[in-house]
Formats: sequence, C-alpha cells, structure tokens
Amino acid sequence: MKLKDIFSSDRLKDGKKRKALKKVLHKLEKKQDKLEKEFRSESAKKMRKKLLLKLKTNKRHRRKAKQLIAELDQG
Amino acid sequence: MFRRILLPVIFGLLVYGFWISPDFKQITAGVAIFLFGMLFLEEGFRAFTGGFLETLLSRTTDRLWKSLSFGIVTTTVMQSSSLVSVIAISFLSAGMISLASGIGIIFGANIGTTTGAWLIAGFGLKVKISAYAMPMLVFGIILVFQNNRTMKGIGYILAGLGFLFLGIHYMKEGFETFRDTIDLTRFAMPGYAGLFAFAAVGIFATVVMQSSHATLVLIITALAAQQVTYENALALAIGANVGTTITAILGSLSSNHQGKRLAAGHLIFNVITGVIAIAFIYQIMWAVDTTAVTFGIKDDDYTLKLAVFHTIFNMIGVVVLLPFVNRLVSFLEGAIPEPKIDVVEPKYLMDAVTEFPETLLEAVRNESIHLYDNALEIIAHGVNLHRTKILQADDLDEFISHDREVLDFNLDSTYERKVKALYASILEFIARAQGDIPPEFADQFYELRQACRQTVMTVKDVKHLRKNITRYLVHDNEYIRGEYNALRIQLASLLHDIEELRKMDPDDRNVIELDAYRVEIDEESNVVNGGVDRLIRDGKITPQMGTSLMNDYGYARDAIWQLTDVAKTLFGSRDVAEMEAEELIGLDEYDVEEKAAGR
Repeated sequence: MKLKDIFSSDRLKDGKKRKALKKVLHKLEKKQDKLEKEFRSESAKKMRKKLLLKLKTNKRHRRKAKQLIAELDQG
Repeated sequence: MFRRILLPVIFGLLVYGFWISPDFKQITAGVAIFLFGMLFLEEGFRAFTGGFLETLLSRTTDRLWKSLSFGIVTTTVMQSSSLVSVIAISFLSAGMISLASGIGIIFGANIGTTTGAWLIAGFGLKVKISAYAMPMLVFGIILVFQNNRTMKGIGYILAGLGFLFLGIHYMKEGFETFRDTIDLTRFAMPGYAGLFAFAAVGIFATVVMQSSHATLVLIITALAAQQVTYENALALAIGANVGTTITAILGSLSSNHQGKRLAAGHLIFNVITGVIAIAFIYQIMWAVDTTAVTFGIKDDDYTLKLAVFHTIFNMIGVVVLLPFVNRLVSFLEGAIPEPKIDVVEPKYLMDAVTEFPETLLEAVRNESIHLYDNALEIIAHGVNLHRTKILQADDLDEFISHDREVLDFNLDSTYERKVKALYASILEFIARAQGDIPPEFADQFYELRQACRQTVMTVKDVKHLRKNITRYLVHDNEYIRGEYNALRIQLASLLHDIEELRKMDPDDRNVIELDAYRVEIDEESNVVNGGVDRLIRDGKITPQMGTSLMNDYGYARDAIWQLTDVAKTLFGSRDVAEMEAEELIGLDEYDVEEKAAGR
C-alpha cells in the first residue's frame, strides 16, 4: 500500500477516531476518580444525590465510549 | 441625575399650581383626561389592525388625493379639524396609515374646516359634538367590558372620543377666566406689524379656547362691534388656523415618533399657509372681494367674507404645499428620527477576518460566545437570579430555596437589544461569508449557527417560564414554590457548571459531563416520576398549579437540553476528531429515553 493511500484510507480515519475516543474516555476516567472522592467525603444529602447522578452519567458515558472503541477494534 | 429629579420637580410644581389656582387644576386635569382619551383611542384603533378598518383605511388613503378627500369629508362631517388630526395621529401611531397619507388627511382637514366658517356665517349654526361626550363615555365603557374584540375596540374608540371631548371641555372651562383678558383694541397697529400681532392674538385665543370655531365667532363679534379692522380680523383668522394645531401637538405627546412627525407636519403646514396669507394679504383680500361680488355677497357682510377668506387661504396653502408632500415627509423623517434601540453591536465580526477560514471560524465562535453571555443575563434574570449569584454561590440549592426576590426587568426589550440584534448580525455575517467557507469547515459553521439558534430558543423558553416562576416565587404554597425552585436550581446549576468548565484549561474540559443535567430533568424530575400527581392527590397543590408546572417543565427541559448542546459546541474541544468523539459518547434523546423506559 502506498503512503498516499494509507493517509486517505478508512484505517487512518478509524485510527484518529479511536485516539479521540480514548482521549475522551481517559478524561471520563479521571473525572470518575474525582467524583468518587468527592462523593465519599460529602455528607450533605442533596449534594450526595447530585454527585451520584454525575457518577451514573459518567458511567453511561464510559460504557458508550468503550463500546464504540470495541466496535472500531472489531472493524 | 437630571432625570431623577425631573419627576419630583414636576410633581412639586403641579401641587403648588393646584394650591394657588383652581383654574390651573382644571386645565391640567383637562390635559390629563385628553391624553388618557388619546391612549384609549389608540388602543381602540389597534383592535382593528389587520381587519376591516385597516383595509378600509389603506384603500381610502393609499393615494394623496384619496387621503385629501378623506380629510375633507371627515372634517366636514365631524366639524372639527383638531379631532380629525388627532384621529390621524392615532391611525399613524397604530401603523394603520403612512406618514404621507396622514399629511394628506391633515391637508384635507384644513379645507374641511372651512365649511365650519360657512356654517357659522350662513346659518349661525355650530355643530357641537362635545355634547355627545357623556353618552360616548357611558356606551364606550360598557363596550370595553365586552369579550368580543370588535366590540371592545369600538368601546375604546367611543370612550377615547368621550375623554377627548371631556378633556377639551375642562381645558376650555379652565381658560374661561383668561378669555376676558383678550382685549383686541390694544393690538391695533397699522401695516404688517399689526397683521403679525393679530395673528399672534389669534393663535393665543385658539390655544386658550381650544377651538378655531370659537375664535371665528369671537372675530365676527369683534368685527361687528368695530373693535378690529377687517384687515386685522383676517390676521386673527390666520392665527386661529395656526393655533388650532395645539390639539394635535397635545395629542402627539402620548403617541410615538410617527404621531409626533404628523403633528409637526400639521404645524409646519399651518404656519407656512399663515405666512403666505399674511405676505399676500392684499392680493387675497382682492380675491375675496372679487369672489364676494361674483356670489352677490354684500360689501359689509364681513361674516360671509371671512368664510370666503378662510376657504381661499386654506386652499392656497394646500395648492402650494401639495407638490412638496414627499419632501415634507423626508424632512419630518430626518428631523424626528425613529428612536434607536440601543442594540448590542457585534464585537468580532469584521470583514478582515474573512481572509482565512480559521480566522472566520474563530470570529464567529467568539461572537456566538458573546451572544451566549448576553443570553446568560436574560436567562438568569428570567428565573429571578443575579448572574453573580449563579456564578459565585457555593450552595445554589440552599440559596435558591430561600430566595424570594423578584427581579424587575423587561425581558422583551433586553432580548431585542442584546440577543436578537446580535443573532441577526451573526446570521447575516455567516450568510455573506458562505462563499469563503471551504467544505471541510462547513460542519463547524453549521454547528455554531445551531448553537446560536438554540441560545435564542432558550431565551424564549425562559420567557415562557418567567411568568409562573415569578408568580409562584412569592406564593404562600410552599409545595408549588418548591417545585418551581427545583426548576430554577437545575437551570442555575447548569449555568454555574458551564461557567466552571469555561474557566478550565481546554484540554481538561469534559463538556459531556453536562449530560447529567439532561438525565436529571428527564429521569429525576417530580413531573416524570409521579411526584406532581401525588402532590395533587394529597391536595398540596391545586390541579391548576399542577398543569402549569407540567407545561413549564417542558420549557425548562427544552432550555436544559439546548443549553447543554450550546455549551458542547462553544466550549467543547476544537479538534474535529475529538469533537466527533464527544458527540458520539454524549447522551442523546434516544439514550436518555431508552434508560427512562427501562427504569
């Protein structure tokens, strides 16, 4: 395969996509750690409820990101 | 500073005037009632906008000759040029006729009013429609209380006319004492000086008596008693013609810029006509004598000769000024400009940025953020919160739960000034730059345009929300207050988190975390999980409150979904692949609905 073809191929596009998805997933994981720490140290009921909601949303995002990466890996 | 002290000063002067003079009280009350009548009249005509009256008016005043005829006929029937001019001002203010048509009506009214002189001279008759003021008021007010829009409109017009006449009546009564002070012999002067002096007296007398017809009667009486010469009597009639514009000027005080333009046009026309009449007084007198001889009017029948003079000089005015109507319109539009709304100008949209797609994109993005910042102010104030509180408060829940302050601000005018104008500029700029945008940037421009549209839509949602949020913020029922506060908390928390994200380093930002607010409003709200139904069932809120809450929940939900989209576009990653990844991972309607259904 010529270099020109490699740059215009779907493989490269998928590679870029995978890299971007992994970057967002990494941010989500970092955020998850932060949220878990905050949740453990929070005593106010209202705030805990809010943090729990953020944690759940984060979990859904991570699941979606992992699923998308897996789909790309499978081609 | 000046504006702040102006009102107390006016009030102080009025109170002092009321204290020292009962006549002053009557005159000012007359002016107040007159202006109130104008407001009623405009309200009444507004009820017919887009309907029969507008069609009729546009058909009868679309050409100059038609509006001229309209003025002649209506003034002849009503026997009051002042009333016709005031009605024309109302039509114009309500946007039912054009300024040129209004001027045509005024010109016509000046000819129509000469029939009054003929009626007085020929039959000693004066049609006094002010006698109908009281019945008009009674019938008008009854009709105002009807539900039918047409009936209500007619009611406002009748009551408006009734108040106008009542106001004029009180002004006349108040000025009664001044009438005796008009001693015409004191102004006897030869030549043009005398003519101008008597014209000034004519103006004063008409302003005082609020009727050019009444001045004409006074002139005829003075002529018969030989208090004034025939020549000076004509000057008085000229003055009366100028003085009669006071009613229109007074009427224009409560109207918009268009009404003021017409009143100014009326004054200009009558002053120019008056100056022409004085300048050519001897020629006009000759024309009057010739006409009198032709129609067999006796040489000493000054009453009829005055009527002839009145007609001739008004006709001359119309004939001379008719070709200049368009110029008069341009002059008035320039002299009394439409008040400019102090709109916010774009900060970043300049022609220089169109050189490169990257700079163009950056400019549009920055301007969209500018639009968002302006909208943020309206959204915050719309839910009765200060921006500083939203951005700085550590515990928004606690603060909003106890906050019951209603912010006094005009959402519509702020929207017009700060959002609508800017949004229009962005749209125009993108449309103009369309040709310079390469295909690979097209999607990003589309996204920014969408973000602007969603920002505007959010402001509109908040506008709907504001009514009940304000209503229930001060309500005694703590449950409904709590439900509305929950919506305020969700909106304020989202705005707070968006601001927190903006402060972060772009690489650390994770805009999709704002999806938590989508999940919260769709899955945790009392409206969707049956909490509101329970409140109604337990009698804690009324079904009406529940209905309002459910409707307003829809507006709040739309606002939250739109704001998260706006934030993702404006403050999310700039890298195309990462933007795409954020979009793929972010929760859309389908994801949230699916979860809610499986709950």
